Amino acid sequence: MNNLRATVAAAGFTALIAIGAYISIPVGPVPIVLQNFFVLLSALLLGSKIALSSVFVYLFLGALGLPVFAGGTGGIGHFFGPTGGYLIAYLPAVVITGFIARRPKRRTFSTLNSVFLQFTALLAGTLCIYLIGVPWLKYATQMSWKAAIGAGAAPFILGDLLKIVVAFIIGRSFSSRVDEFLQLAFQKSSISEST
Amino acid sequence: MAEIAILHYHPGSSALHRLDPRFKVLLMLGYIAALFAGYWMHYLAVTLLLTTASISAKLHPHSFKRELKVFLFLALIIFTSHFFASLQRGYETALQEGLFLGWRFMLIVWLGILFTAVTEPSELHAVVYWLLRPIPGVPAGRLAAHASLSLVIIPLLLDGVHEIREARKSRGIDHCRNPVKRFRSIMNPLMEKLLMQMEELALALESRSFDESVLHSSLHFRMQDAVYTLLFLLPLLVLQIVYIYF
Repeated sequence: MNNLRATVAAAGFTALIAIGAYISIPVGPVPIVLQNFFVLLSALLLGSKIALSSVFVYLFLGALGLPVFAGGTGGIGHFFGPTGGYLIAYLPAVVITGFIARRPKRRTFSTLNSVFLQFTALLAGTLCIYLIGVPWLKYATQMSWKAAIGAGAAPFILGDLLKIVVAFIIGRSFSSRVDEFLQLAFQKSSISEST
Repeated sequence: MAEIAILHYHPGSSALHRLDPRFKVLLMLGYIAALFAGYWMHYLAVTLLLTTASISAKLHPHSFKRELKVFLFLALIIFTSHFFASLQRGYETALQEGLFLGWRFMLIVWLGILFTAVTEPSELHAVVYWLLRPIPGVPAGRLAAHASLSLVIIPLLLDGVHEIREARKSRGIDHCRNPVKRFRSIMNPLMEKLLMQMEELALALESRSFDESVLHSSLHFRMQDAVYTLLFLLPLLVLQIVYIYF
């Protein structure tokens, strides 16, 4: 794969995840975010490797203090705050989602199977974010398990299901064009290598 | 195009523009640490220092008017949500809590706006490279290029979001009930914009035979930069020491 195009694609999705910060609604200790939507979408469209670097640079820019985290804030302090777990969890989530969702690309699967796989991938990614985020919230704020789930998971489940459905639809309608964007590069680089 | 000035680079030749980007990052980290320490004197000090810095960088608040409105609105939401969340601990504490968090939010946003206004993407490229290079197994050159390219795309995409909002408003489709449809009607044009932006950028970079490993601005340590940084950090350090010992 051509490095330059992969870098541009990764940068584009980093920007998209950062933009998610400006379309979010802060409520209580955990704001409702579009970031996890874009994180899952990038894993779906780019595959785990490029998406991982997208998320890494996003977190890095946030750690430097640029206002790219939910609600337009930033700073390394966020990683140690109550919602830090959700941010860290993006890294394993994209790896898992990307790994599961891109499998049908390599083998020939029926459409039904690939639909099933993509939904599983998105669900697994979302679950991963909760599995790391909620215990983190519990220990950072010294809440009980019940309170932590009530504040950090329960209010967002409906929204996350909606996000999964939309991510799936958007992922399907744009995957061929993103592939083309990356693939074009692949053809070019193979030509330049052979000459 | 480019109606939203936030996170855009504003060319200039002030002392802040010419400051070594490593020190800019250090200043930013220092200020954010001070804000998370959470005393109101720190907030006041950071507000004063940021005002001084903005004036010295010759940034007019006029060019940020519209964005500031958006952020004031977000700050208001933060204020109200925290106000009601801590209301059972007494009216006064709740008011204080809400005010502080809203204020802190505005300061962090201001810090980010100021940083990107005086730092060229190529300078950021150099800083990220400098920071990541010592870590083994991390492709520093590539990630540095990635970070600076993201900073190029973020303002363009924000402009895109603004355009999409206006287009939806003018066509009166803001009141769709179906949440999936509503979500999609924003995401589809946004993704379209992103792909267009990526294609354009990739073509532009390819035609100039862009190389990720080449740094376009070099970092030089200068004594005056260190002095300048210290000058802007000293008040906060003094405050912190005063708070610890008195």
